[in-house]
Amino acid sequence: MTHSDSDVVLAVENLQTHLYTKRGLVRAVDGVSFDLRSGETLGIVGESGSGKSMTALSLVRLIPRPAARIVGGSVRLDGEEILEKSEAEMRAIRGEQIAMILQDPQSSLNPVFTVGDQIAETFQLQGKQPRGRMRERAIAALREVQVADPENRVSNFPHEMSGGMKQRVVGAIAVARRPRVLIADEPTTSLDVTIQAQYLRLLRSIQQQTGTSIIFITHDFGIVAKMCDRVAVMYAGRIVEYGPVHSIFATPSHPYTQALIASVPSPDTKVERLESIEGQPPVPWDLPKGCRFAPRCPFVMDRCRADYPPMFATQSAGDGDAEAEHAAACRLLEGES
Amino acid sequence: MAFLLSFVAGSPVEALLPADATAEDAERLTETLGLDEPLHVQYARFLQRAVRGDFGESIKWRGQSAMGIVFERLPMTLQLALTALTFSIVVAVPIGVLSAVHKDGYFDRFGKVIALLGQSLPPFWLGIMLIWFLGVGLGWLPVAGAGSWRHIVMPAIALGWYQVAAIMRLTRSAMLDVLDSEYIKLARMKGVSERSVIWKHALRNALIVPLTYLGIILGAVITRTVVVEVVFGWPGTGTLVMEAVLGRDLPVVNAVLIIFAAIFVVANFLVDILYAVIDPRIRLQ
Repeated sequence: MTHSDSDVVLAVENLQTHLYTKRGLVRAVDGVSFDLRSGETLGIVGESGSGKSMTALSLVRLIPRPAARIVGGSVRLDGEEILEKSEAEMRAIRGEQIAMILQDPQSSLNPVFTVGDQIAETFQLQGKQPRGRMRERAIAALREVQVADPENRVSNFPHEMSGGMKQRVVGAIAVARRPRVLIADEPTTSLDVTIQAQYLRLLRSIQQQTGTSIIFITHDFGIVAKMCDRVAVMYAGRIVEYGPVHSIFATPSHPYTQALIASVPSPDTKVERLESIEGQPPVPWDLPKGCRFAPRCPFVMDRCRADYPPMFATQSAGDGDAEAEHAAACRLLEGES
Repeated sequence: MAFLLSFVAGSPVEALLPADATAEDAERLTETLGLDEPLHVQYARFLQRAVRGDFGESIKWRGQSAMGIVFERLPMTLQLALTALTFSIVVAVPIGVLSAVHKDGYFDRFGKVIALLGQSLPPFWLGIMLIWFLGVGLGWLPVAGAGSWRHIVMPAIALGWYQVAAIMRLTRSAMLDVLDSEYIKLARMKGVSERSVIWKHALRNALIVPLTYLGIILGAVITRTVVVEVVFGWPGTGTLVMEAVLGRDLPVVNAVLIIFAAIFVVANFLVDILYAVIDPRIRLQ
């Protein structure tokens, strides 16, 4: 993914994060590269354990220590290398430049402080401000995420709020300082479906107002279709396919992506049995040498087991148009393009 | 319980009378003390008075009510117990927090040694060692008695050290749990400094665990004051109850027991209030 677009906000190249576990070395993130452009939403899709969350945490360098370590690659925010920053510099970047919404609103907020205090703390980090002013800004932040009755809600404790409302508060904290990049790590997984749709609309409208770029981590292709401009599909620590959403849905090129999309039930067609992918994901401390999907792949060839396939552009990829770049790490595409 | 004790301890009559007293003298005394009445009558009378806080006159210190004597000594014991507990908390909580933060590091190992020492040193032995080193050897602190802040240092340490280990380990494990939680991740994500993450966001949540323990050990600390007070000649209820037991002064012993029980109840009530101060989820709507 090399292009000179000046509107690339976050450029990730060959990122590698290793986990040192009792059972051995786990390459949780193994050579992940992608670009995030200004104002776009990039979906990262994959099943549990595929390395999506570990990738997200690596971007802000909040991976669980000492078990995990970023061992290589580069993450550049507006051209500046993040992996070389000091811890103090990182703290200034977190919240200010890159913010994050976590998966479970029930446990994302500190139970012993009011939501107002927790929102205000974000502002406080920009410099000391009088208490009354902080409260006003917290109320405004709550209003922005469409919490009803923000004047009273601001003095609520998290346990006095519903899950959906708590996740709005987490959202308010995340966008409070207008970050360049917002990482949403399965933000709607624990919300029920109607609240989910509301929340996604809210994220959309905030993005339109603030122009922030979003990395949306999910395992749900339905949400990807609604939310994202481009998608990267991850499997066992690697990106196996990336491209514009419409292109991926129209011509999924990696057998894994094909299987994933096939397993999403559609309301239009009646099926007797949902599609599923044969076999199990590989155990993370004992990955196959070649393509990691090879043991489960219906089209597997001998070469797939020999070494890891590089990215090949797909046929649907627009000529030289970076926006339409669509590629997959699969030997089936070799020679096609 | 307090009533039953009266029979186990032996007759106070023997203890009170001079060695050359006649059987008649003994009989007269038994009558004055009401010991000749049937058991259930004695018990009813005991209860009737006990609910009013009246345990009768002290047998050893004639002319003074048992409760009065206990109340006179009580402030000293409370002072010692509270100072000891404060010492335990002030030492244990920071060590617990830092052990959790530097899990498996050098500090954590240092903490484990402290914990082991605390649990294995009996307070009376620690007291004697303190007297020997700081009091007799170095002459820094008075070896016994009360009167100035310097007197309370050694008994407070001897009494408080035992709890350090437990409070520290509880704080450590609670901190480890909390530091692993999502809201700590979110606080770090906001760009909150590590110091504030640990001492503000995490500790306030973690404190609930050692606080629960505090309610439980308060009773044990109060009872342990007896040993420590005797070692240091601290003029509180501990030394009082010792003298009372030796003199078979059962009204005083009973009064002390009831007061200790009352302190235990009050202390647990205070802990419940503290819960609500720390954790808003426990507050009433």
